[in-house]
Amino acid sequence: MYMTITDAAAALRTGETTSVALTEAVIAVADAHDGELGVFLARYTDTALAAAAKADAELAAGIDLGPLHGIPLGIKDIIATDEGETTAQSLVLDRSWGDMGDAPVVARLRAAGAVITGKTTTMEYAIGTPDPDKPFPIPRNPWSTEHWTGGSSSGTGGGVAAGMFLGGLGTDTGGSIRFPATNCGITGMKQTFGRVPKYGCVPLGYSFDHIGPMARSAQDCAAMLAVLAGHDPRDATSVDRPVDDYLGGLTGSLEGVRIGVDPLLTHSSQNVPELTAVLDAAVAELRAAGAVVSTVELPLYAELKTVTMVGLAAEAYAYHRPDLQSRWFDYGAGTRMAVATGALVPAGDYVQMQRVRRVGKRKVAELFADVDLIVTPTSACGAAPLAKLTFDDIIDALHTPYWNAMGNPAMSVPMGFTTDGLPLGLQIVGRPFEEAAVFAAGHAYQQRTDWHLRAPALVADLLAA
Amino acid sequence: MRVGRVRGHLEEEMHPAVAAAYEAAVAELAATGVEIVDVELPTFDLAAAAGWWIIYAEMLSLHEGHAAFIEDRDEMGASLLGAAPFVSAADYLRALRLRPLFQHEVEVALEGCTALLTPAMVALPPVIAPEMFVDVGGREVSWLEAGCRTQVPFNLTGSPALVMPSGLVDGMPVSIQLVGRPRDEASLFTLGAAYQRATTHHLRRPPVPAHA
Repeated sequence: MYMTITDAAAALRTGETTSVALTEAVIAVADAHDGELGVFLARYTDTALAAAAKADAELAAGIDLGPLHGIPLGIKDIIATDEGETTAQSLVLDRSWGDMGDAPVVARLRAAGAVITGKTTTMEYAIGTPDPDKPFPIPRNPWSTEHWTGGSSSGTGGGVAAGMFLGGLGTDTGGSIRFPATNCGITGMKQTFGRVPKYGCVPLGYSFDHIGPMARSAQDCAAMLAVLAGHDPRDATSVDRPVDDYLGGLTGSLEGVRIGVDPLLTHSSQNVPELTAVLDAAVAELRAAGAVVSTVELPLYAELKTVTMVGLAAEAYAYHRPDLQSRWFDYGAGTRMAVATGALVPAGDYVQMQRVRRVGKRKVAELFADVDLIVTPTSACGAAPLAKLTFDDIIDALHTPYWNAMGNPAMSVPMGFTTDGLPLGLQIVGRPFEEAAVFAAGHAYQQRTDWHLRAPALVADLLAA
Repeated sequence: MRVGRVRGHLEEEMHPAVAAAYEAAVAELAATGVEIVDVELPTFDLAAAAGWWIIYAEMLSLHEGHAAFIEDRDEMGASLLGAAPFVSAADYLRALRLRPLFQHEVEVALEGCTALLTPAMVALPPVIAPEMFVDVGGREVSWLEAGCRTQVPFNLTGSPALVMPSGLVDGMPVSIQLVGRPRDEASLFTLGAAYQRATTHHLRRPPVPAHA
């Protein structure tokens, strides 16, 4: 069983499987491997099976809530759910924070019939590095348990890759959906800033934060975003505009679509030698699907990546200042250092950051006059070994933060492996609110490739069962 | 029409003669047929500080490149630019987050009123000197602090504010300030025109020397 959401939705309707069977299967994978992989902070087995039974009864009665009906999902544990507390994987967060119950995104998934299997691991408060001295699991990569999943949506990334649920929610402030997606060989979408409401989600950098879908395929992410997107006035940054039809445009053809490629090779010191060949092969598939490919150069690349890192640190520090001052040692070592750098940002630099951001948005919009989509590697390399993790190295490898400053939709799809067998991702970026075009490109690519369907050896036996 | 006189911080510390002139102006405004009621802006003792955090941040963003030439500034310019780097991004973000709360206080104070009334300044204009201080009744404060106390808060809230001459003290002009709802400049002009139809403060001219 290594189904996409799309496959599972079809199988549920032909009677080939049931939601209870799907849910029992993912529970079996979690029983076998969660201890090793550190996917869950809380598992909601009983309520998940009850929700699955309800979905089966509804489908049998002809009540069809759409492609997520009866599908097991995981929720990153900085998002509130009815089933239990939200921890942000931290000793610091007041556990009454989650008393609000379902965040709008979770309520929407639930209303669409999804089965909530549990709360997944994160970097503490969605930033830093895993701290073995704290009483939380260390997320390990299903492709190699000596390596990290990436983060901060670590558990959702590892859990989808291992088959512990078919999709889930991540959040992305500097790359926290796309980073575990590239590291774990799955698909993850950070849609346009404001497209999905964030009420009920612990903030990190509130002008950079996004909640978004993670799943095996672009089509799965499109089905999830169709449910997640839409205005909610409880989030001041939520945008009130109609939600496009994301699934309708998945034709498999990119005929006439203009795609600009920037390999960004000079912007990381961690490029693996095989990156160029893997990227070239991916671009060749886009071209074969009909795309008109050109080379582009992202404007103000270093400046705008810095915008995100400086801005999110300042905003995170503004949120954490009182607790950092009184409970320094309750924070994980990586988290407190990453957030505390925000204390060193003068207000003038913060204002300057916002001004540079405006200039960047104008220049990126100019670039998008010549191309419809931009593709880059998501990361310069595969997953990092857990033994050698530093926050600076993580950021150096990633090509994701640029797009948090800009707010454009950006999705990572699997595009192959390093010679060490670690997944690599292709980042596909569109104009603001043109998620449909990004999904269409990801889907066309995935119609021609099967990287997103590859299963890690660790769970291959269970998935084949 | 009803106008809310803002009691509390904005008028509690004033040069005595300026305070007396303000009372006279309030009476003149009432005599035009406007009902004057007392209102409060409970936390506006903090509004100027929050406003300055934002001003410092934006000033530094714009003038960072000029910081190396701080010696070319006059003393006040140099002291403002020199202090700017000590406002942290976290303080700036806090000021931005407080801004709606101050705006809400203005909205509450305006309930049932067309405008708010405050002194335009709590002191007389300063005497030109290397260090300029003004008397606010019993103590001296820097000119900038006194000058901004009643005004910067409404830069922070973004409210329209109209300042009008309301008399002379020791031969120097003093003024009142009307503050309105966002985008309701029209009401301020209506109130101001009525006040100036009934008074002549705005027609006084300085005693310009004949040879000038």
